[in-house]
Amino acid sequence: MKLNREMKVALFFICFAIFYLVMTTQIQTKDLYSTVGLNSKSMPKLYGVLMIVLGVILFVTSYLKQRKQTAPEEKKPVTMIKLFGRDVPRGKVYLVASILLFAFYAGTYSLLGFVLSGFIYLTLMILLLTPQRLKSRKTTIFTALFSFVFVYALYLIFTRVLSMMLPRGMLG
Amino acid sequence: MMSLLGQGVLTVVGNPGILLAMFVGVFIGIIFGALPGLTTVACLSMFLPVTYVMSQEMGLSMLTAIYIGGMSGGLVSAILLNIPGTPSSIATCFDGTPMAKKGLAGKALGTGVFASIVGNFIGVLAMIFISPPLAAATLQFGPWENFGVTLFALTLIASLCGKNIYTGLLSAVFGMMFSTIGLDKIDSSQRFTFGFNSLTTGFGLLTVLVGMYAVSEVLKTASSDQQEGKVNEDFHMHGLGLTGTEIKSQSWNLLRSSLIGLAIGILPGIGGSTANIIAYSVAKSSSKYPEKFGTGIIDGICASESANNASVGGAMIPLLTLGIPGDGSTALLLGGFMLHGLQPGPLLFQNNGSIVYSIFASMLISTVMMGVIMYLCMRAFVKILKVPSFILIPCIIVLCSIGAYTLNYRTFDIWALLFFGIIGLGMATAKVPLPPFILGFILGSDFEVNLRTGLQYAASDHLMLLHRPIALTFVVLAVVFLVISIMKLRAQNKRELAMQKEGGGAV
Repeated sequence: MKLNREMKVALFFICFAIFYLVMTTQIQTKDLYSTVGLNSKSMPKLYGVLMIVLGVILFVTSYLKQRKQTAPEEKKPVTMIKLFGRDVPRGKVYLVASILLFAFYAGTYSLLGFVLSGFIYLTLMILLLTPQRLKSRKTTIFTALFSFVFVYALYLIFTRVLSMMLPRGMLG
Repeated sequence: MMSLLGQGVLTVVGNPGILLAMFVGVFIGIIFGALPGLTTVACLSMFLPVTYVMSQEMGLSMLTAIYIGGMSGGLVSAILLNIPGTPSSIATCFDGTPMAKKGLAGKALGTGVFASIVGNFIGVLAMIFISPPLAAATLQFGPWENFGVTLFALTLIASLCGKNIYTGLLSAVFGMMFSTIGLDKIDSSQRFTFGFNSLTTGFGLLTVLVGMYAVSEVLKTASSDQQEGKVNEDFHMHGLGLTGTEIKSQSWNLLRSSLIGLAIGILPGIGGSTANIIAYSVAKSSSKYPEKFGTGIIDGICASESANNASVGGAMIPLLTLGIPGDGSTALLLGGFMLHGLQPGPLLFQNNGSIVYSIFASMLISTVMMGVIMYLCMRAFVKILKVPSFILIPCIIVLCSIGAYTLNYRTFDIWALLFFGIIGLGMATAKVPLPPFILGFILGSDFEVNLRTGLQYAASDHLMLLHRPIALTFVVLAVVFLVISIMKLRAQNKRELAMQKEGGGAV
């Protein structure tokens, strides 16, 4: 049986609901005010069961629809780029790189401080997204300069003008 | 009411700081609306931290000004690039681009701006007159009534968003599950904290919203092929763009489309992106010359732009009176209200009437500002359309991270941005609608608290709901919507199969 998009979505939600229901067993109820009605476990259990029921309905209806369908699902053309000598989908590479850069930014936010982590993130992210035809040594220098001015200006505006605290990091 | 509105106007006009904040808000909103790939939600996410230090009136006036500017800005790229700046301007492309190709770009832009002003005024005026009595009526609501309204809103948004009711419902339940993280609001039991102290208070509303909408959008844009279009800079705008005779001939179209936009704006989950297409279809079907639609006539632009702008006022009505946001922008506005110590809902008008009327006044003035700025600065916006998105997008992330960090001064919220950004992107890729998730997250705790409190009141009376007519009406309406949506889905599936069989037979 080939799984279509909706069936995969249904399976994800069913698995998530099972995990969620298992986790509800760790909730300690207090029943401080009344034993009438619902306690703090009741609604999570209801949501978990509801999600499983809806997931099963979605899976079954999608399966029945797929069985009757004759035409396969349309696939969009994918732009490929060369990475380490191999053709890989451009979108996936850029997505993973964007997530990793964001994770680096979040991870170094307090350690390096807003200015330094923001400067590194902004420079690398702009360079990543810049189209190949525009990439040159000049644009790299411009990007780094722009990133530094932008991040430092933000730092000054938020800390000096708006009196908000941003991490200064190891540079103090 | 009129005296309160008058006071609100005086508060806004008498404070140059508020006027400046509104001017900046409208201007920036138009830019974000005009740039394809950037949205009003991203703009609101970016500017929320800027409003932290502002007064309630100033901060909220700026946010609503961004909302108004963002809704109108989409027409610029729709007409000059043939790419709608926002989903709310899709139908503007249908006649705007052909007009631009005929050398009438200036007229198309002027018509769009005029229709935006009319739509905004009708929407905002309706909000001013409908919201106070509605809020007064909802003051009578108890836990059962609030439970009924919440259930109805969740069912409605799940039914209206996306093609499949089941994915909409799953998305809503998914959001409700995230609302259970942290301390239980009734007995303070810890739920799903996994030993993290940061999770004791649950995920912040703004972190979830900015992550799901702004960060996921940025990730989506980074992973998609950029759309590049040639900007048509050869245009001249004269006066309003429309002659007196044209305004007279379009008056019914403008009014009808604005009312359509207003009505659709009130319903949660659909808003301007649907309003402009429905208004365009109605204008076309009721026109004496439907064959001319799509060839470059002002009727199409008037219908689309007045409808999407009127939806702004419509979407504000459930937000202000019930605390129920209809889309990403109003959800962020809800976050903005809460950040400034205001809780949208029935008590807002009673406890903070003067601030609410200042916001009403600022929305009216923002509409005027939007018109003036659009007419006078159109060339500047066209120049800004040339700024590449690969520079703007990372800048948005940096600004959003400041907003998240300064909520509680902890990096946990920046990680949460990334977490919800990935969830948002995953849901968008899997075509699971986001609005039900957001509404489920926002209303989840109210839903639980009202149901549990209601059941405690009811004690052994299991049929108490039957003695509460308003609550019962909302529950019945929720069930009816659910059944209709399921029937519609089945009919749609049958239609699709029949069409496929016909197609297969033809081959």
